[in-house]
Amino acid sequence: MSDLNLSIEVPYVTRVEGHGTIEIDLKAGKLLTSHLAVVEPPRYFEAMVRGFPWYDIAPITSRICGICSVGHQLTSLKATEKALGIEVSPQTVLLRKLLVYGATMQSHVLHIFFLAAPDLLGVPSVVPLAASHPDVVKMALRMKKLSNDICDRLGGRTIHPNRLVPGGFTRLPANADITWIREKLTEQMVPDAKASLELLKSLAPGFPDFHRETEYIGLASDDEYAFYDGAIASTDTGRLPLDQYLGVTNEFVVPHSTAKHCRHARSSYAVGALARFNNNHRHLRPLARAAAEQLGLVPPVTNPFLNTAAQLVETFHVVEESLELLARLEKTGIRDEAPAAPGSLREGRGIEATEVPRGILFHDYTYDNRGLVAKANCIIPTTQNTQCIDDDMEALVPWMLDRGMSKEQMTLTLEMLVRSYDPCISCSVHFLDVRFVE
Amino acid sequence: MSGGPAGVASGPLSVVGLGNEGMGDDGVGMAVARMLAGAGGDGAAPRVAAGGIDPTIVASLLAEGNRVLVVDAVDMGARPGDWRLFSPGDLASLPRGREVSAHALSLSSIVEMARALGWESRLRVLGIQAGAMAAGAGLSPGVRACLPGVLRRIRREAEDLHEVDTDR
Repeated sequence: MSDLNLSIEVPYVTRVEGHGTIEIDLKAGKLLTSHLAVVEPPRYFEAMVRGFPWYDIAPITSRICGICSVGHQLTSLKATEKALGIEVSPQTVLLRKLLVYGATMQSHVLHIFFLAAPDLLGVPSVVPLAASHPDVVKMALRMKKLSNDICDRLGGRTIHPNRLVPGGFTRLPANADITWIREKLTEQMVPDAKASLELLKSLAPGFPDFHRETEYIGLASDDEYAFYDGAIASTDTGRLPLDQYLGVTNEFVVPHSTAKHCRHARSSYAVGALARFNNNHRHLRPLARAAAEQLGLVPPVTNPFLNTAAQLVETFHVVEESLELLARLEKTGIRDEAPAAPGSLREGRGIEATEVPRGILFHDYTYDNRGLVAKANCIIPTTQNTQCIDDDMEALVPWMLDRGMSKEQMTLTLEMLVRSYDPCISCSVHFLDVRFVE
Repeated sequence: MSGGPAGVASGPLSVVGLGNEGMGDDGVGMAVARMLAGAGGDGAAPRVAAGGIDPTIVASLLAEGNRVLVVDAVDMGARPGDWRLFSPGDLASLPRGREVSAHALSLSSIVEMARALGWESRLRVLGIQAGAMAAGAGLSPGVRACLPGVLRRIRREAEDLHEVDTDR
């Protein structure tokens, strides 16, 4: 980089959720600054739930996010259930898994087509895409609407489902809903996913061929591609039980961001679709496995830009998984059952995790003997990715300079890098301990 | 307050309320959606969706062939509680820099997308001039006072379209 001076600032990265600023400062060939500065204010959810009763927590914490509300709600419910010793029925687990899969489809489709694809198609947003590629936009809207409808029919509402409570559901879907979802997935989502694959294959050369050795962390299981439950898995260190999550996440504060950062075996780690793929690929369903092969995803994949491709692979997988679960539920019929209740209130701590679209999400609650929250901690996927994004940028800048990229090309590539993580930036800022120095 | 032209196009009517209910008058679209949903109705009653701060549901409903009426807080320089029915063309012709919708670019982008996809005849926006949009506040008095008139207009729109549909 010799004696080059270069300054790049993207004040508000577009096509991501929330607000973050890309800042690159190269002086006399030395990279002084390369990071994503999160400028969102702290959200204080972990403090807000203190003193609230066990049955009120999930509706509050689901408001952490309007995109991943299903994931927050389910992780919250599982943590409460674990703390209070509430066992849910196998039917509840199946229905919750279907919700997770529906939410995954919805989020991945939104990201692939509305947020990431415009870069690959050379347009600034999805709006000009409507004119240049109307069939693509119509297909994306169709896929997103179906995913929304799945969450509606199972959870009562697309955003912040209102039928999920500790122990189960206040209102169960009808048998007709199960059949409707299965038919729509088969007749509509599978063909649309296949068309999406053809499109993404044609656009794949547009992903920068950038690689960086990275630790990937997510849920893993011996039985399935883990979304709803499992152990913590690291591509560097293997598996750990959920209750050791603090020794994995190791949150720390940085001066340039209101979001905390995380590190484990290296200076950072990645979570999300690529991390799940790298940890769980052997459990992929047939269509998903074929999609991965056609997209050139050979594990371990170390190109962060391919997180978008991994999302499409996962879209196939969750559709295939959903079809199997729906067939099971059609065979048994939906059984009328009330939510399981705690035997008695007791002090307890529950640590749980779910894979939400952006990665592994942890909720950790401690209850007192009245069933009120005494302490809460939530570690969000995007928080876990922030240091990884910064480390990627630090490696990406010299990589781009070596290739003689213009400042405009470099700026776009940096934005694409941030978008590839599909960050939920406002979720990543939670509760900072504040100490006033007098 | 005034009403604009009501376009007649095919497809069932869906009313989508947008807004942030925690931000005063910004939540008026959601308030209208909840009042309509709570009122129920006969075959002429529109389908109602509370879209919150995500207007992509508008595009999804249009993609399904629905006629969509979006209800949202706007800033058109009028008195709080004044409301107007906009067509996508009305929104597009506003001077640059004068954001009509309090949800700014996102709803505008959806409108632009609808025009590009040839769906504009099925889309209308009922914009209600916002007063105060402070966190934690409810609807301001002027905006609250306009709600009965807004609801009557929406019901009339739905009934007119229902008559057209049943006459086809």
